[in-house]
Amino acid sequence: MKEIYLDANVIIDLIALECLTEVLEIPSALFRATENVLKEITDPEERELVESAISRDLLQRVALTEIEVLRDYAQLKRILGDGEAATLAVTSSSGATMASDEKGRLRKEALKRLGDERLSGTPELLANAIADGRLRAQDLEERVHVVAEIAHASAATHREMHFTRILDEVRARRGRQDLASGSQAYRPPKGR
Amino acid sequence: MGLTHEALAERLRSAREASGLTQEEAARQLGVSRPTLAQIEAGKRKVTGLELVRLSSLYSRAITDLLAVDFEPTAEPVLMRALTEARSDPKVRAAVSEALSLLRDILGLRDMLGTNDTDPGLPVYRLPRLTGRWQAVELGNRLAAEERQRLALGSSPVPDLGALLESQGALVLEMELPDAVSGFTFRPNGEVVLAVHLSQTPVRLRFSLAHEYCHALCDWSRDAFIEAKDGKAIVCRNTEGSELGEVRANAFAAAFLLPTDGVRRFLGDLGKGFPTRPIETVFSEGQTGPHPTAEGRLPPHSQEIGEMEVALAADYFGVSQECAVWRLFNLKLLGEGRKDRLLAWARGEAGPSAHPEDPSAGGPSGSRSPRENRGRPLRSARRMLLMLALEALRREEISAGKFHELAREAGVEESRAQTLAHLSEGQTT
Repeated sequence: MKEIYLDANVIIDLIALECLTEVLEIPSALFRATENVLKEITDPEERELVESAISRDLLQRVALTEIEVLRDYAQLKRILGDGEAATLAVTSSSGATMASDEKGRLRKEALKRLGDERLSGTPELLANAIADGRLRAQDLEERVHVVAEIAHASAATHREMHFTRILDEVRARRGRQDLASGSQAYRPPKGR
Repeated sequence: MGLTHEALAERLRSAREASGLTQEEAARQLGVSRPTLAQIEAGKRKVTGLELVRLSSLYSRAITDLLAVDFEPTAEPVLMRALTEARSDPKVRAAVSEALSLLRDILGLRDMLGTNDTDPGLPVYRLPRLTGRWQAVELGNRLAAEERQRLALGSSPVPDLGALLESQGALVLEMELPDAVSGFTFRPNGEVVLAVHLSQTPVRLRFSLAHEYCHALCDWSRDAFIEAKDGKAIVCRNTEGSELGEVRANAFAAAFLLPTDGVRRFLGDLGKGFPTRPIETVFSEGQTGPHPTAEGRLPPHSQEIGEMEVALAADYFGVSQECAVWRLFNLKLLGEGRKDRLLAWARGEAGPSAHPEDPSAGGPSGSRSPRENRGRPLRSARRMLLMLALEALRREEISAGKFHELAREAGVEESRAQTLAHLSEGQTT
């Protein structure tokens, strides 16, 4: 079974899209998160959802204890956030996959250590959940639509673009027509 | 041989002991029970990454030090040794720990960005051993004049002392310190860090910073500093004002912030500071008889320096009114009696309505509160940390997650950090 360590941004995005459970229920994967990542989820409602997933064994909490992993983590903390460093250190040593949507330095470092095949993100997880029949493409389109509209209304342009990009990537993985058919596909309003 | 869990456990025990904490105290601050910490230190329970981060912060050590090959069990950070209050006061310990972490991050980022060699650096003056107060005052005055000359400051005020020192490669750190401590100077691995007590009014803070500046320039051969593997430190306590090194630093601070020429010119512009009955002898080459004299007569009391001139000078040079009075007295521009009267006024002893820093009194300082009193806010190490972190993010040397951690450490609000990160993303090359 494929072991996947989730970074905080992936967990938060899945919660925002109300897809956390659907993704964590994919039977072909074992989902884990380091306690460092879980500490970064500070919103009480998000915490409750994560704790619920842990209590239902959908997500496993992992503490870093091995000396070499701790050493790697301490070095990585110079350039990465705490949760990112912990996740990359533990995936590097275990052969597991890391799921993170961060670009820039984290992606560079992760690609160097894990290669493309052991680096995943929210779009891949969502595409897998759709392929596995846990999530309906139409539902995802609608949820992204809602989240992006809220972000747009509150002038959170970056957040709106972020979710639009996630949806585009899921579409690309699934095939555009497939995902958009029968639903009102979200497109950012014109004039920006 | 590699580090074992047992060896790491032993390191944690010795790091705790070196920092003077009992197992009970450390466990409480870590948020675990004493038996849990005892188990960790006995190697019966593995320490986790999160615990290791918190323990390293509690013991003021870098997490990499605890895991390093050449770990030094008794290497207590020099600041902990110098600031003895940190042993008994958890708030001071936390402030020192935070300061050390901030410095580590700044130095790490400078190293990462290759910007650590660009500053000219503060010079170190070799001065004679201090033997008396007069010599200490004289040396302080002379050093201030030399520094002003080196920096081409002329006789002008220094509007932003923090920025000036940062441009010389020093790090300026405003932090909570014990009440008895006005500041400290710290030299970790060739860097110069000047720390001042955050709770002072801006003008006192400026004076303390100028005082620490003097220590950084000349006090590395005297006996007062404390040395450890990670550097040297001089801590300035309010009770040590008569110690010769402190006398010199105080004289330096006053002369640097209120240069003699600048003060005289400022008063001259106000039409003050001249004798009321000036007499001048007119010399002529070859004259055989007595030289004629010319005598002026200025209006009575026109040259007296009063509350208004002191308030204006303090405003102009960014010092407290009390400091301005003492400086004018030392420059022989005030007599003993007037000095005492002005000091009483500056300290608010001349009645509430006359207190210069009482906003309700409508005194010479206007309506500002003491906290908003003259003197611009200092540029602090926190601002530098943010600037370096942004540049490191732009160059993709650090991740966005790391940037947000550093921004939090710099005291930047989450939403502001988010905006800055997006701006930086737009500039990524």
